[in-house]
Amino acid sequence: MKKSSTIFLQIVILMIGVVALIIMIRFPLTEGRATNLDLFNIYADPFIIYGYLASIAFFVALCQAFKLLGLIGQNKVLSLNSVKALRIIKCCAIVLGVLIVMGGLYIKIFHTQDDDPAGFLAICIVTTFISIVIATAAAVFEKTLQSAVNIKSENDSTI
Amino acid sequence: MIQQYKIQFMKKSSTLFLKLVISLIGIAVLALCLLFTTEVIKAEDMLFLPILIIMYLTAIPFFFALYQTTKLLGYIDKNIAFSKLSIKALRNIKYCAIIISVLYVAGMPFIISVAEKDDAPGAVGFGLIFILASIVVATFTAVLQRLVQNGLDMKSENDLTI
Repeated sequence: MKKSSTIFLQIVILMIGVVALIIMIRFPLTEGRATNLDLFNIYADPFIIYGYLASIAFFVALCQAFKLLGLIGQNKVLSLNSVKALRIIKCCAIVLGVLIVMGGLYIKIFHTQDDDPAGFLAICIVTTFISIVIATAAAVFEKTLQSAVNIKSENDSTI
Repeated sequence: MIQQYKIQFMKKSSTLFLKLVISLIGIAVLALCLLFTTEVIKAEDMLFLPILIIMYLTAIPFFFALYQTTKLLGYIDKNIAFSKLSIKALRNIKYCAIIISVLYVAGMPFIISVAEKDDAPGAVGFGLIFILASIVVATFTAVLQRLVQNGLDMKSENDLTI
């Protein structure tokens, strides 16, 4: 039961990763500027490359969540490894939030006059908000888990 | 001592922030419900009525789950995260998520029929996403509940040995 539920969550995380990857590869091809460019030049835009670099943080966080679920499945969650995984997730969420804010500011300041990037900025605000929430939740989990790990190590040392 | 207060403050502020986020989510969903209601009333043909009813039915367990989450954050604040109370809150959240997914599965035929009449395939996608999300939340809370249970067992063992 426990194993199956963590495996289900792992599959969900894999699915999220695959969907994000597909969207990221597919999206530049559907844009207006891709109509008369060859395959290399579509992806060689600096802002698209910035997006790909920023997504590294996202995928690292997904990977760590996957690892954390694996630890839960093996009943090894009360260890420093899982605290470390949560800390990495927290850092990744913070980094991703900062990167998205930077990208949004760049577009806000440097977009051409007759362009209105309202939708892009709205997505930026929402995703920044989500990453802040995830960072806070990961921090709370990390602290709670740390206290549990402390209790456990105390417990082990008394026996 | 100051370090202790600092840690306490940081912990308090992060859970407070999460509580604020939860209330924000609640307000947003409430606003969405009201907005959708006015839209349905304006439209006058009762095409979207079944979806509206499903929405209000699912809103009840949803708000209950949000309330339980704020309670859980309060327990984390008071350093009693590993207690029977938080297990109960997690169990309630799990049941709420299961109820929401069941309600959406039950409502899927209505949603599909409305989508066919109105030619809006997006509605079906939204329904599927809601079902998937609530199943994920249910599984996640089940895992958390088991973890808290393990922690509680360990803690009581600890209290016994001392």
